[in-house]
Amino acid sequence: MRRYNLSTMLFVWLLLSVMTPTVILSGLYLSSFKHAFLQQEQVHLSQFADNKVKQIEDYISERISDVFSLSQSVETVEAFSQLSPLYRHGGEQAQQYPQLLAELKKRYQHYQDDGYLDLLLISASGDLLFSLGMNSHFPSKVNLDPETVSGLNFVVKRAKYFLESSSSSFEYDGPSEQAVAFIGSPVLVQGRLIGIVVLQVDSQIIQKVTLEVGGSRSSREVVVAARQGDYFSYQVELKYDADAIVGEPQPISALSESLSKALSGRRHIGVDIDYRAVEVLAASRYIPSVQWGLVFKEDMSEVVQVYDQIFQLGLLILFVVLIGVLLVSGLLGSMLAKPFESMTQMTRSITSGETDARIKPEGFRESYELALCFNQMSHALSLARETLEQQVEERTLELTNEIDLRQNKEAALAESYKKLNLSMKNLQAMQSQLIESEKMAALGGLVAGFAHELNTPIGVAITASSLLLRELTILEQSYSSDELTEAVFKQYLDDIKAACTLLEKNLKRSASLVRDFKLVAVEQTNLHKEKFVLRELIESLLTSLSPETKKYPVEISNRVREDIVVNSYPGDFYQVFTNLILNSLIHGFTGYRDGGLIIDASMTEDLLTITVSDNGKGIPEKNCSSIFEPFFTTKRGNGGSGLGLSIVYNIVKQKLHGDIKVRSTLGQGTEFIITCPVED
Amino acid sequence: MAMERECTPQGYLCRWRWLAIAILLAVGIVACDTKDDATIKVGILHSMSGTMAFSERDLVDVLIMAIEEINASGGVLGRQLEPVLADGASNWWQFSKEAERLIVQERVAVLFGCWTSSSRIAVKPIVERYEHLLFYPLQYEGLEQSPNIIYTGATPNQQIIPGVHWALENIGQSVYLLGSDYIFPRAANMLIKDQLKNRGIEPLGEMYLPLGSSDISRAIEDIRRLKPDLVFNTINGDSNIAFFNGLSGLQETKVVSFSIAEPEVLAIGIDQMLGHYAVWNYFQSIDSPENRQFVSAFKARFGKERVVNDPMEATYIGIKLWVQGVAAAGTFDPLRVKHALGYQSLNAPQGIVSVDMGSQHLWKTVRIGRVQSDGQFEIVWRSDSPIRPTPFPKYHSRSIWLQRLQELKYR
Repeated sequence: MRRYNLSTMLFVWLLLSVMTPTVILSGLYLSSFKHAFLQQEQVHLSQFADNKVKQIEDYISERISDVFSLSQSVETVEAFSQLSPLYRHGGEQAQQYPQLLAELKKRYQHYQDDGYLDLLLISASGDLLFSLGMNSHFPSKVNLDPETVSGLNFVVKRAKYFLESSSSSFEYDGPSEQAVAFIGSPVLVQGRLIGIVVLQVDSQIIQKVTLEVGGSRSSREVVVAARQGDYFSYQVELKYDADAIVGEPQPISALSESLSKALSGRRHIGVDIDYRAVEVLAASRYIPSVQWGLVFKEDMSEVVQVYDQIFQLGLLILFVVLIGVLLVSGLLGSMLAKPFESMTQMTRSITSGETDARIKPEGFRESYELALCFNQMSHALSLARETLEQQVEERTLELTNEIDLRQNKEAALAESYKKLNLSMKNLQAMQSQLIESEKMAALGGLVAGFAHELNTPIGVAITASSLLLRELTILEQSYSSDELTEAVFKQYLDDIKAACTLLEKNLKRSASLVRDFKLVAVEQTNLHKEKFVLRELIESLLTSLSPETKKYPVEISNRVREDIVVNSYPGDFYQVFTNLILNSLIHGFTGYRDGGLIIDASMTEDLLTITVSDNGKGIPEKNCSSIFEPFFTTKRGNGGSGLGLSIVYNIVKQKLHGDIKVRSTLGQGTEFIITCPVED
Repeated sequence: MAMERECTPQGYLCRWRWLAIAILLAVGIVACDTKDDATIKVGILHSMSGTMAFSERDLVDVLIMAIEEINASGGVLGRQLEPVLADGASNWWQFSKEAERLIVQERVAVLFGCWTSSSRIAVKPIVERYEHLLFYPLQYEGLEQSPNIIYTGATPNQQIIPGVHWALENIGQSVYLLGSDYIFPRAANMLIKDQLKNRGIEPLGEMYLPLGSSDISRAIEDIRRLKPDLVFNTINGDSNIAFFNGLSGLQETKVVSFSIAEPEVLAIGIDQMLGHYAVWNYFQSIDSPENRQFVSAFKARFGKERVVNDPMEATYIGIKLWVQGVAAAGTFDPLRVKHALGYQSLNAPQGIVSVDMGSQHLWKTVRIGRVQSDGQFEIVWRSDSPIRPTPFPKYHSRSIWLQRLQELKYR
């Protein structure tokens, strides 16, 4: 995310918070101003246009009043009463006619002075009796044909038939090269028409009306037009079209919007298109007394100009304010940001290692305090740094010493290790030796026991054989001395049978003992693997051990089932059982009057489990884990070497690849469980 | 941490703050709406009952339609118009009472009303007293001017006088004058006689029928006997039916009526009226876009079988001019509106009409129509341009006119 500096942020925020509402409000105000301004302009224009219409209407009304008063005046009546008979009787030929005309001319001259182009006196039948401009071009008789449409014709007819004073529309008069109009009024005596009096006016009023545009708007123009059937003609020169001829008929299609409205009586104020096809603000009016359409207009561009100026001014101000805001935010931003900058610099130098950087406290309160605190912090930092460095040095020294020490120790350790290794090897050698000695001792004991055992049956056998010999001798003597009776012979046979039976039994016993011993003693050194019935092995072992075992008041029972056949090292099994049994007898029953030892086994497809359990005094728990350790014994000094169970352990573990566990409860008994895999 | 979660501890307040701003803005905007919603009452004072109801009902309808049109296009000065009807009951006393009620109690901004001159004459002092404004749409005898009445109907010089002139030029020279016995026919005939006198013509006869009477037999007899080329007819009402029935068969005599328009033609019977004439500023048969629009709008609103006549068009002109006047004045105050009416012009169905402030009448075009077989008028002549209204013909001073009017014993 880009980070903007303080000046930019200030600028943006000021812009948003100050400029945005200002702009919006200004916009609203300007648009409402524009609207009000346009309204105002329209009202002005409307008023002007109305004034123009009033001017013209008033002018015409005044002219009608003039001609009316003229028609009412006694002099006029008199003039008619004089003129008519003269006219009838010869007209211009009559002698008094010119004189009368001259008189009338003098009388009515002031009308021409007042601005009228001409004054006409017309008889009730339409004859032109008198005209001020006597050498004028008027026809001697006014054409009263309804088809003829001319100004003079119009007012005369109105006066004659409707007894009305009226005004005609303006028409272009060739000879005088200007537009003229007529105002006429009937002259009535006792309700009867005796003549018509007509005044002719020029179109100065048009000039007057169109020239006064007032105000400072240079594009203002008054356009006046009259309709003539399917054509229309301008009654004044056009400001922007020098080619347009006053009075020349133009097609209705050439009418501008605003003028068209004016000519059709629609009073209108608003934006229209003028004859230049330019947008204008136009007021359209209709002037009934001359049937003119009048348009008072000004260019919209000029109207809008005022508004545009204000708008531009507004923009300028806005722009200036924008610059101002930019400057202010820039200055303010940099002023506010200065403490931050120096701080940043200082922090950098601290980072790069300079320890005692300081800022000059200055500026507004917050930055001043910040600078002070910063300096404190900086000082504290530099102190801390020094302390730290010192500590580091010390530490390093310590550590270096430590390392030396360690290294020495390591060397010593390596030495010790070497020595230990050696000792270990020695010990191991000794251990093997001891085991061998123990084995020898055990074997010796075994042999001793066996010999002791063997002695008995052999002794008995010797006795029996001696007896037998004696008996036979006796028998022989008896025979020889013919003292042999049947009964004595039978006695001697019975005695000899008895003696032979005893001999056989004991010799068998000896043989069995020898066989058993052979099995145990010899097989102990037998390293071959062979299949054997476990029960038988144990039986023979028990037999061979009986000299030893009968010393103890313990009953040994072999509960191994006959169908367990093991394929393993019988010698090892002998050793194991021997040690376990002897151990149990020796250690388990001291002080007991009787006890039991049970040997049991079970076999699954892959596991052989053998248990040797007694109900002797048990092994304390704390010893249970130690009993398989070499040289561990509780009877040291009493002839225990402590190797028995360790031998068992080694055999089970290494030779048989099995496991041995001991479970014992003090006062209840001990159980040894041997598990080993079955090989097939 | 604190910056990110700024709003949340006052999160509740945060939300309400925005709501408050929104409400304030809305209230502000509503308060700025300065448009006034009250309606402006427009008084319509015509006979909804009685003998004149048949004719005046048409004028009420036109006003209703015009008001609807005006309201639909946004009203006047942004306000809607509300018509307030008052029944004059064909009784001039009722008219003046209702006028007063409309002005004082209903506080209407303007009055459109009256048909008969008697009703107008009764209402005139009321509007003058309260300085109000009445638009009167009927052709009448002129010889009147009130600062508080705008007359949108024809003055004699905009109807009778040109009509008589044309008839004399185009139909014949022998004339019979026939009318109902009240102010308008008597005043009209007074002016016609002036006109005839100037041409040296003497009317063959002059007869007045009592109002409401249909005993036309004497007049018919007279006419049959005298055989005039022209009858100038100012009979008003049902008597016309008997009259035209009585005339049937009389080919040589043409009747030029000044009080018969399209509705009366239908009432009397097209066959009876076929070939006779009427003089108005407006006929329904005028062929102009403005008129076509006006007639079709009226027919669409009130039914295809209805017809439009000159007083209806004059009524329409009246209310349209009033709207223009209000817009120009910027207010509904009657006096200010009246002043703003000066120099107003309008492209009416009949053509351009302009207000003549001096006389408070309108510049109007004159037309002469002949009854056709469809009941409409064929326009046989019209004036080139609108005619200036002169309620007081200039060939007498006003005082003389008023005096002459007195002599007609109806003032």
